[in-house]
Amino acid sequence: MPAVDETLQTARFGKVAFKSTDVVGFDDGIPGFEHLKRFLLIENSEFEPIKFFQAVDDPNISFPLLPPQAVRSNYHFELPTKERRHLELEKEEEAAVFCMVTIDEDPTKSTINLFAPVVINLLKRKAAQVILFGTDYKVDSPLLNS
Amino acid sequence: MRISDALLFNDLTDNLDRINRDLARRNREVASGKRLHEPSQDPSASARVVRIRDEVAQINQYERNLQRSRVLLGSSDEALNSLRNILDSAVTRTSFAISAIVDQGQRDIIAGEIDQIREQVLRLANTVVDGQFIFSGTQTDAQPFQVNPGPAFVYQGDTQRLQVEIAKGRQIETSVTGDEVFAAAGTDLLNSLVTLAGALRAGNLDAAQAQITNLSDAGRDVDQARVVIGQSLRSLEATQAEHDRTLVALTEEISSLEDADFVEAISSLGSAEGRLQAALQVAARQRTSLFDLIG
Repeated sequence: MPAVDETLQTARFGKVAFKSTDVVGFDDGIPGFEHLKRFLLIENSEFEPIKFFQAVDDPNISFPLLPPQAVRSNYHFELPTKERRHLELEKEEEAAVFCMVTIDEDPTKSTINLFAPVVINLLKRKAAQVILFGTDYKVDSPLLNS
Repeated sequence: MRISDALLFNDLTDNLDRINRDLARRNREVASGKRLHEPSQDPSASARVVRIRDEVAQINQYERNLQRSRVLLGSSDEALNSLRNILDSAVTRTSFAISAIVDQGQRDIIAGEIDQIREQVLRLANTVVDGQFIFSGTQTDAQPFQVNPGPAFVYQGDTQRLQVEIAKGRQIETSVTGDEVFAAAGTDLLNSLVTLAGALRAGNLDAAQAQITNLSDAGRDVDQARVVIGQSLRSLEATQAEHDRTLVALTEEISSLEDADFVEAISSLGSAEGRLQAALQVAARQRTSLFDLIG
């Protein structure tokens, strides 16, 4: 499919220009936002090092993200077969992993969701929020002191 | 004691539901940044953000209404355009059929064409969009005309055009009724076509001639209906443009109110602890392969 230039007026980042091929598809949506299937990964110097998944179909919705290694150098998990198939992932190198961050005005209360990372197939532009059943990771690990 | 598999399964699915609900709640919190807008913090700004969000949500609803209206009106217009062409060809064929140079054998063939035209008209009258009949007024579940109606076609819908609110206090009509187009008084189109085919088969040229008038009247009804639809479509496009302008203004405002807090929170997060800051900087430098690929 040829890339089509598009723009999106967002609440957080103003006008964002992107190509149709930049869009990452969450076929199942994100829990709580099942109706939103298309996201853009946004990198904005103002918010470094936080990155965002901005919903293409709702200008108000964006999810702050960090690579989990930022807080846990040894973060690892085995991707369940179901998700691997769903994301059509064949090799580990094709995947990127981010975790959602809840930013609090009080930095010590900011948290990161290590229990449900977002896994992206870089080649196919498919992503899913994966639940790591049977692990000790928490949805609200403190960002600091962790 | 052995727990039955069914119980175990229930337990697992309950657990899964609970986890999914937790996750959904957590995600909503992440997305809204709502923790930054506790009423105690900056009351005027957060009240304004809440108001803007409500307004944005309202406009989004109007935009969904607009989108649906556009589909309905577009489908109606398309159907009526086809209908207009069909009526023209019905008039042309009938005029030919009643001319002196045509024999009864040819009239019978043309009567068959009129039967087919009636079936096409019936299909158009019963057009369905999104599982709803578009020419039955507000009775969108009622098929406007039965396929085999017995002695005569009888319109099954009502005479109310559908209305949708597309902006505060602004309604547009998103349909014309089958009553206006297919069954207007004196020009009941489907029954006229039945009569016409019968007249042609019977060689009753005066009766066929009389139906030409009805078909022409029906054509005028169609033109009138298309004017109504055209007005709604123009009103719809103008309103859409207004909403788009408003949305841009609102999202810019929300972003300026919100992201002052947000940027501050992120920056205090970064400086709160050297260790995290260092880790975050490392993470930021590791421009992940995703960006190389997407970039």
